[in-house]
Parts: sequence; structure tokens; C-alpha cells
Amino acid sequence: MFAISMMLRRHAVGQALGVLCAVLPGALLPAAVLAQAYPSKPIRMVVPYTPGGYTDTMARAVGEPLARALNTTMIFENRPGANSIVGAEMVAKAAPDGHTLVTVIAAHSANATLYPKLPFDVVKDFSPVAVTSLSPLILVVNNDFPAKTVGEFLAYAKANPGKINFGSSGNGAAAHLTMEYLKNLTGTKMQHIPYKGTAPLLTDLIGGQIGVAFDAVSLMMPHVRGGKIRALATTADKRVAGALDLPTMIEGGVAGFTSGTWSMVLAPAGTPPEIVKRLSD
Amino acid sequence: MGTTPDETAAFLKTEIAKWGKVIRDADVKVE
Repeated sequence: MFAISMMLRRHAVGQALGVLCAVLPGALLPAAVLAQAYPSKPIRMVVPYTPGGYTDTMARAVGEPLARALNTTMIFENRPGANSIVGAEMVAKAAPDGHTLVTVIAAHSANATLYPKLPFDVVKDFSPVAVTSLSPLILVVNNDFPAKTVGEFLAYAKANPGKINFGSSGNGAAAHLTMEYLKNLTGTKMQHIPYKGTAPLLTDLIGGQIGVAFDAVSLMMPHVRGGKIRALATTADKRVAGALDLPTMIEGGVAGFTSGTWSMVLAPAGTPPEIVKRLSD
Repeated sequence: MGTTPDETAAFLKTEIAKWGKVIRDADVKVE
């Protein structure tokens, strides 16, 4: 489902185009003059999730070096709620001067379909800056869950319709939708238990209140290595560095099944292109 | 940072279509 390799190829093409554009410096002159005044104050990065999760981690990993490169400071503002809608709306309605940004993840793209009455347009109300990370998910289970492989997991789910509780980091999160995708593809029935982020989900997965979950590989692997939970597979199209012992869902027998989340920095629509370019570069 | 603004816009549109299909096919409701 997620054409990560295609994405990277496109990026290479983009860089080549960037070189071609450099032969026309005169055309960019007014923009360059305007951009010199930027940034004139600290940049605010809205993080529409709680601290410590995937979005927060990625926002800081990207935002801190970006602020240094622009000779300013970045203020991270966690504004969780409603599958990132609360934080995204703030930025959609902020001044488009490059001093307010938001880090969104796959949920932002899902919200376009999940919420027909969104208070903003996920495309038209933002100036896209950059995709900053791509992450496959990992299928993890409680240590006592009666399955050691994807095949055993699906056989158990089929034999026990509606009895497995699966957790996710939130209603409409990629982790939630990925399990719905798997249920639909395999004709299984499982009960969704949404959490307010990865931390409380993990507590209940370890405790056995839920049996299974998808979440970002990087967030779950330390707990798998520590023996707190077990991993069955990743949702990448090939084995994942740092988890090479784990099969993919496709290897586990679910033909063509891939998924993943990502992070992306957006500015409000109408942000001057030269500022967006400086941020993106 | 990562991709160019144009690549980012294209990626977002692709993702909206992909997740939209997942949501419609699996009939996911959150409200």
C-alpha cells in the first residue's frame, strides 16, 4: 500500500530538478530579498499529539536542527486531540508567515475521509513543506497471546470472532486503520480499543487488557527486545533494519499487505513559497 | 528536510487516496 521506494526515487528526481532551477537565479531574486527577513522571531511547531509519541519524537528530531540552521529557536507546542484535528486546525488558521508550523502523520490524510465535516481542508488550507519520516508498523501481542506467527494469529482470530481486543494509539490512527484493513482483507472480526497515545496502549498490552496492536516499529522494538511483549511481523514490503529477525506480513502469508505511517511538516496555506523552500531545504 | 514541497503535496494526495480506500472498503466509522 505504501510506495516508499517510489517516494525515494521521486526525491532523487526532485533533487535533479533543483539543480536545473539553479541556472535561473534572476527569476528568484525578489523572493531571495523577501526571505532574508525570515525568521524574525522564534518558530512555533505545533505537535497535535502528547509528548513522547511518534509525532512528538519526529517533530523534535527535525525541528531542532532546522531551528539551528535558520539561526532561531523552535518552540514545540503539544496540542493533542481528535486524531490531530485540534492542532492542525490551529495551524490552518495561523498567520502564513513561516513562524507557525505543524507536524502531522498519516492520520491527517485519513481525516479527509473519516471526518466529512472537518473545520479545514487537509490539502487546501496548508502549504506542504516536507515529508520528514516514513515508518512501517509492527504487529505486537501480549506475551500470553496464543499465537507465535501471523498464520497462528489469523487462525485464532477466525476461530474466535469478536473475542480479540486490539488496541491502537487512537481512533483513526494509522495503527487503527491498518488493523481494520487486515480484518477486511482476512474476514476476521476483532474489537477496537482506542487509547490516547502509545504509552497507555503499551501498559495495557503488557497487562493483557488488550491482546494485540499495531504501532510504529521504532516505538515497540525496545519493549520486544526487553521481553515485555512479542512481535509477530512488520508491515514493510521487506525486512526492516533493526528487526531483521522479524518476517513481514507478506512473508507471514497475507499477500500484498503493507502499511505504515509517516511524518510531514506543513505551514498554513499562503505561506510565501520562498519561505517554504527555505524550510524544506 | 526531506522531500521538496511539490513532492510533499503529491505524497499527501496519494496518502489521502490510499487511506480513503481503506476506510471505505472496511467501512470504518469514528464519529
